[in-house]
Amino acid sequence: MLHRLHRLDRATLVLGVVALLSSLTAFTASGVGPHQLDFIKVRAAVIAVLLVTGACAVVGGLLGRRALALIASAGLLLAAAVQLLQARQPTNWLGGDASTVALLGGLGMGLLAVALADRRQTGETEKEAQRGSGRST
Amino acid sequence: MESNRLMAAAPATSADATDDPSQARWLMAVVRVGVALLWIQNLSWKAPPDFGKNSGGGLYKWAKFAVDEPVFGPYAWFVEHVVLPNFTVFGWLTLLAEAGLGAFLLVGLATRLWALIGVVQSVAIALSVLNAPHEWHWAYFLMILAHVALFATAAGRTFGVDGVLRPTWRASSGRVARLLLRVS
Repeated sequence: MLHRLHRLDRATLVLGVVALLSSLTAFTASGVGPHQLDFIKVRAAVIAVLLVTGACAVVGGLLGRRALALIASAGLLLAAAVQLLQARQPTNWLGGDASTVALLGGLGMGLLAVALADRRQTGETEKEAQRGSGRST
Repeated sequence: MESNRLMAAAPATSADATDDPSQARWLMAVVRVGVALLWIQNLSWKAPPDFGKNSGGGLYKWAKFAVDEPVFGPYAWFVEHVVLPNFTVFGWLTLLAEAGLGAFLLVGLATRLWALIGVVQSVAIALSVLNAPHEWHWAYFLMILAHVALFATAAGRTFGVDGVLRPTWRASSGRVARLLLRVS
């Protein structure tokens, strides 16, 4: 089924899945595993953001709805901006730090770039796209 | 002499695993995400708004090593007279640069540009802390080399947003698209 999707929709779907899976990094803070693996500070409110925006992107990718990718991207970037301003502050709605900013910001920027891409110029077949991406500038 | 002639005549074997370019690209995507996580995890201890200046710890402590345990004279002078007196600005610039490194390398967007920024940032860190007590100098050399590898292999083109969007950028005549094509 995945190979039938437009590759921009497939990218949206993958970024949504990554957002959903990254919520699992909350478990690394549980003290069960080594603290060296606590890569990203993901706490309750951030988990909610990742699950909602991730689900939005997955549905957007599956249905080919660019608006849903844009909504997910806006949600992630807004959360990243809020977290950037509140990192290590007494008021910290999301409970994260600068590592959370990077995660939310990266996924948000990635989704935004894919959602804003001109689909008229990406109508080539997958084989042509692969040939093109392997070409040097 | 004879063995050289034999080696030149021997056909390349396609069964050699190291000849598989798709495997190499896939593994470079793993390296890219790993390097992104390196930057992301090390954002946690960079604490705005003072970045440790008031307590003498955190980022301030590590930046001050450039002056206390100098590695390169001109850089030590720069840190002492420019960076430390304006540490809040420097702290925010560091945080934004490293957040950008983590974010963009994670999803593979404008990867070659961020790999170069990673080289610059790794060199700056090395010039600050290379002579600090208990530091392993190869950690910083390896950071620099990892970013060189990401740049050389354009590591965002496989399992990265660069790979998805480069055909679009190539087809576009816009200046932003041409720029993104160059830095991806």
